[in-house]
Order: sequence, then C-alpha cells, then structure tokens
Amino acid sequence: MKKITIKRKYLAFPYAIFMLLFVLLPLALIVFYAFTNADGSISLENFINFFTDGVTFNSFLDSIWIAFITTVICFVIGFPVAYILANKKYNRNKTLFLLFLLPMWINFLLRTIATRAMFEAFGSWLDIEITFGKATTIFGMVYNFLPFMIIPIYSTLSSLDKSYTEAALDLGATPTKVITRVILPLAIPGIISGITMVFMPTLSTFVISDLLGNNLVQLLGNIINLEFTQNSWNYGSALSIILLLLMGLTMFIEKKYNNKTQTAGGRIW
Amino acid sequence: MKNKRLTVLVLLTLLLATILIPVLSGCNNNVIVLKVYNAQDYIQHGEEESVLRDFEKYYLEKTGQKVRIQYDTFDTLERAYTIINKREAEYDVMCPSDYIIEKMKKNDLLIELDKNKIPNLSNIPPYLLDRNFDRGNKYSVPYMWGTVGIMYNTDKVDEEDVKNWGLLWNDKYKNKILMKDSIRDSVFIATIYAYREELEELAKTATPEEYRDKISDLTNNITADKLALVEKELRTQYDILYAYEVDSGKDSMINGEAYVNLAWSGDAVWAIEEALANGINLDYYIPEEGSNVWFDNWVIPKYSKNVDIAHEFINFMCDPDIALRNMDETGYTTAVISPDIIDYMTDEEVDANDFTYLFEDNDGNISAENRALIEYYNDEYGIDFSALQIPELTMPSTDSAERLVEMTDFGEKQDMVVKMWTRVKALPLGLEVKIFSILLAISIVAIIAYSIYKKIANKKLVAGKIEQMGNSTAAVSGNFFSNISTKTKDLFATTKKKFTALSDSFKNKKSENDKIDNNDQQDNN
Repeated sequence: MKKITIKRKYLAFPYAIFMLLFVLLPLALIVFYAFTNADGSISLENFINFFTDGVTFNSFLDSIWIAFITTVICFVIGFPVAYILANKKYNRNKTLFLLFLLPMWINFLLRTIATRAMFEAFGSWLDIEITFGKATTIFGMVYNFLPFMIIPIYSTLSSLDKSYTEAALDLGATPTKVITRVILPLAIPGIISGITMVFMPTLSTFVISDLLGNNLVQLLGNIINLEFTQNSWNYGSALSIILLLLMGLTMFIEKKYNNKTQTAGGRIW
Repeated sequence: MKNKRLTVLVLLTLLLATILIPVLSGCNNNVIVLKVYNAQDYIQHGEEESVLRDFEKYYLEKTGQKVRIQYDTFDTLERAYTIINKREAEYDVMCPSDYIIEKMKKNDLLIELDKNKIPNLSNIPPYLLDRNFDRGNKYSVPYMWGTVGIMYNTDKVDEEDVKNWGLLWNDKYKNKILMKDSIRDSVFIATIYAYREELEELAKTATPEEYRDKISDLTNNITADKLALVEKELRTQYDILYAYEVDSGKDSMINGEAYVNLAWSGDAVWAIEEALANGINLDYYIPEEGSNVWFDNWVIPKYSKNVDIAHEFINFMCDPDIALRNMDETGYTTAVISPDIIDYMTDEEVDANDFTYLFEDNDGNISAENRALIEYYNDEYGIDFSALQIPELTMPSTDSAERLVEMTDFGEKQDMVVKMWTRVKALPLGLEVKIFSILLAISIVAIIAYSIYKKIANKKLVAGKIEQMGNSTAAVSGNFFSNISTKTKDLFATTKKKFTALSDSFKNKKSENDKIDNNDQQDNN
C-alpha cells in the first residue's frame, strides 16, 4: 500500500481560510467603514468626531478608568488567591482550584443576570436600596473576570521552584521580603498576562454595564453598540478601530515586557 | 484493513443519505416557503395553537399548494430595516411600525398592494386607515395599534400626580422612574414635556386638529434648538431615573422595584395582569398633553419572492377570528373590528366612552356606509359605539384620541438625535477619572520620551567612541609612526583575511551541524 503523505503545512490551510474569511475580511470592512462617511466618500470625519464631540472621548476615558479599577481589584484579590492555590498544602488534588474555575462553566450572560438577581434579593432581605450604576457595574466586571487574573498567576506560581523561598528564608529574609523580593518578581510574566486578560475585555464590554448599570452607565462599548443599532456603521467602526489600537498597544507592551522578564529569568536559571 | 474500509464506506453512504433525503423529498413535494418577519412574541404561534400553522392548512385547502412558513423575529425595527435595506433579505411579509414604513417607502423597499386580493380590509375601521405614513394604504395593512402612556403603581403614586407627563420628571419618585431606552419614543415624549407650557396655552383656544398639528410639528420636525431643550429635560430626568429599559421595565414594575414607567399600551396590558398575581396594582393612562399613537402594519418588502401568497397571508391576518386569537395571545389591540372582538375588549368595570371616532375619516366625517355599519352593530348585536366600556389601555377614549399623533421618520436628522442621546447618558467626568487620565497621559509621554532619549543617548555614545577611535589612530599614524602604521595596516589586512577565512569555515561547519540537527528533529517528529 502506498503511503499517503500530507505535507504538514497543508494542515494549516483550513485555519488560514477561516482567518481570511472571519478575521481579516471583517477587519478590512471595519477599516473601510471607519475611513468613509455616510455618503461613502473617504474622510477622517469619524476620527475627528471622536475627539471633538465632547462625549465619546469622555466615555473612552471613563472606560479606561473602569477597566483600570477592575484590573486593580482583580489583582488585589487574585494574587493572594493564586498564591494560596499554588501552595500544595491547601490545594491538594487541585480541588480548590477547580472550585475557583467552576463559575466559568456557566454562561457569562447568565452569570451577569444572576448577579443582578442577587443584588435585588439582598436589597429586599436587608432592606437597603441598591442603586444600579457604576459601582454595581465594576462589581459585575470583577466577578466575571477574576478567574482570568487568577489562572495565569496560579500557573506561574505553581511552576515556581520552592527552593527559592527556602533559600531566601535561610539567608535571613523576612516573609514579607520573600514575597516582595523573590515571589513577586518571579511571578511577573503571569501577572502581566493576567492584567491584559482582565483589562482588555473590560474595556470593550457593554453587556455588563447594560445589565448591572440599568443602561445608565455609558462606556465606549455601549456607544459602539448604539451606533451600530442606529444604522450609523461608520462612526461605530471608527470607534472599534480606536479600541482595537488600544488593545494592540496593550498586547505590544505585554510582549515587550514578557520578553524582558524572560531574558532576566534566563540569567537566573 | 478491509473492515476499516467497509465501515468508512458505510458511514459515508449514511452521511450522504441523511443530507440528500430531506433535499430530495423537499423537491418532490414542491413546498413553497413563505418568509414572515415580525417582532418577538407578536403573533399566536404556540405548540398547540398557531395561526401560522392554520394559514398553512388554509392555503393547502384553498389551492392545493403546500406552503411552509419560515417565521423570523427581530428585536429592534432599526435592525430589521438594516437587514432589508443593506442585506436585501428576501422576506415576503413583514410587520414594521409607521415611521419605518415611511422610511421604507421613501427608499423604494415596498411592493404596492393589490387590494382586490385583501377583501378582509373591510374589517378595519377608517381611523386606522389612510394615515400620514401611507396615504390610501397603498403599501400597508394595519395589524395592531396602540398608544404610548405612563404605567404607574397605584399604591405608591399619589392620585394628584397622575395627569400629565410631569410624572416622569417628578423627583418625589426619585430612583423609582423608568424611561425607555428607545431613542424615538423617549425623544418624542421629552419634546412634548419640554413644550408643555406652550401646549397648555394652545389647548385653551385651538381646535383638536390644530392642537394635533402643533404636537406633530414639535415632535417630528426636529431642529437643533428644539433638541437642545429636549436634551436639557432628559438630562434633568437622568438624575432621578432608576433605569433606562426596553423590556426589563415590565418586570421592574411587577416586582415593585419601580413605580413609574413610560410604556406601550400592549406591554401595559400584560404587566397589569401579571402584577395582580404579585399583589401589586398597576394602572395606565395617556397624559393630557397628548401622546403618540402607533400602528404596526403588514407590508410586502421589495425582495419578496411570493407576492401572491403574501397577499393571501395578509388577508388571513385580517380575519376576525385570527385577529382575536392574536390579540388574546399578545395583549396588543388588533386593528380588526368584529362583534366578538368588541365583546372581548369590553370591561364591565370601566365607564362607558364614545368610540365612534373609529369610523371617522381624516376630515372627521362618517360616511353613509359606515353609519349603516354602526347601526347594524347596534341592531344586530346591541353594540353601541357611542357608549362602550373599553379601558383606555385597549383603546384610547375620544378625549385622548383627539391628542394622539403619529411619529414620522427623522430622516437625515437621525445622527443628530443619536449624538444628543449619547450626550444625555454621558456623565460628566469625575475628579478621580480626570486625575487618572492626566496621570496616564503624563506617564505615556514620559515613557515615550525616556525611550527616545535612551535611543539617542546610545547612538551618541557609540558615535562618540567611533569618532574617538578614528581620531586617535589618525593622529598616531599621521605624525610619528607613518612607516609603522602602513606596516600595521598590512598586518591588519592579512590577519583580517585569515580571520574571515577562518570564520567562513566555522560558519559552513555550523550550518552543516544545523542541517544535521534539523534532520534529527524531523526524524524525531
């Protein structure tokens, strides 16, 4: 029987076609719409509007701020959790880790609706008035994206050699110093990817702010949604591109930083 | 090996069969697919009873032709319009609202109806026909209609506040007020509210028709000045709102979370019923300044493939029995009038009202034909249109109807209105956000400046070193040791040659090694 040989690169063809049709083509369309106005002629009108209409740019800053706050809270909660989970004493058989992953098995939309219902239930039990707005939106974002902070930090920390901390302790470092001088620097690759994985989706989401902000909180994602549903695709596309550029920038910084830490790590090893 | 091949063959044939059988059988029976496009939950289409399934049966009996209805729904009219306009979707029948019909008409997206094929049109009273958006009903046939008003919690809202649109701006109910997250409706209402004083003055002297014209002019001919006023009102309202909503408001009212809600009459019917089960009493009223009356009509979009069956479908929807079933299911008021439907709408607890306006044409006259019809209803069924006990929720009373106005399409001003809407919702930047943004900007500038500085400094350093080296060798060779320098130059040249030869051989060796490595790796793979 003749041996059928398939060159390995052919295996990538389906994905290449998929990329072309569902990633590159839509992207090209977005770019096209962004640089044309409603009449179909080429213009920079949309980008000028972004800075001058006095609303969108403010919402943009607001979105960055909310994403920043969410990321900080996620880090403050997520790092200690990841640290504890990475310790085999508490997380034998990885059951605890699994418990933290469990909420992610439920659909994101359902989770957000459930969060809303929880707020309402607590409000009526404790007889306090819960006003849905920025605070509840941030809560929902933290709740939804916390696992994305925990997982990368957890995986870097759990692959960390325990002897570093032992050596540091033997050499007379206090426990706080061990964390700040040894563990934290070594966990940086995980922290950076955790930050990007939380920061980027929070920047563009609009469902959480709609549901938990009672449609009163307007982030950039909400404006993009509005522009597209109101039939003005050009401005919506321009805003999407701005968001895309910002995400690209975050990715770029992450990559640069990660490369650096890796070379630093190389020296240590 | 043979077994494996056999199983593959069997599996393949099975796969082919599953794909081909439905396709082939479909061809044999020659089923025509009628594509219907409608809002969600807007027709009786359940497991047990469905007007769509009944139409399929009806059409089969009538013509012997099998029709299958493909029923698709849209969430917002704007999106549905985009799908027809930009994607040229081949829907046969669609049910948009008045202002969208106007827009579709303007953009040549509708097929003119052949009224001979819709005899049931006679079941629809004149009030619903010949409207602004489609004079003479050339393109559309009414399906449902209703009003926009305020739904409120009767236990929490004081009776004295229940009269005008001011309730939606009343800060007594701070954080208990719901507004529609639908630009068209909210702007309409906010415009009436913004001009409430002017309208009140006018109401004292003007005839109903003049008054209606004024509201229509205010709400439909939007200008930048008007929009600025409206923005101010919506901005004030923003601070006392519980939420902007489209669908969730009904639930908030039923749960008692909110007390006041801008509502469509059909939604209110449903909510009031549901709330009773929760022990919460809701009611609905049309504010005295006047409001919006809307019509959802059946149309045939331009890209329809089955225009004849579409006509038949529209006619079927105007059948009194079918209309009643749809009304019962959705809670909205059907456009069709029949003794059974009037019976269904009647509520003994409501005061009697005059509904003869249903039979008035645009000039307020009732034709002889319709007069005869009114008399026929009275004689035959005891239905007196001048005194019917129908709640305002189902059909507006004469007083309200006098002040109801249709919406028209904003057209090119749409963008301006959307911009205004985003301004209403945009909170002024908080101090923390401002500080954060400034810090962010400074740090970004600092990082860029630092990296540029570092690059330049590096270049300078390198350039300086090279220069230094060049200078020193020149000085040395020029003044004292010119002989030696030429000799050293020669020496340099020869060593360089040797060195390059050596490095070349290294390189060759290395690339050979690489090749071997690669081969090894490939073999491993």
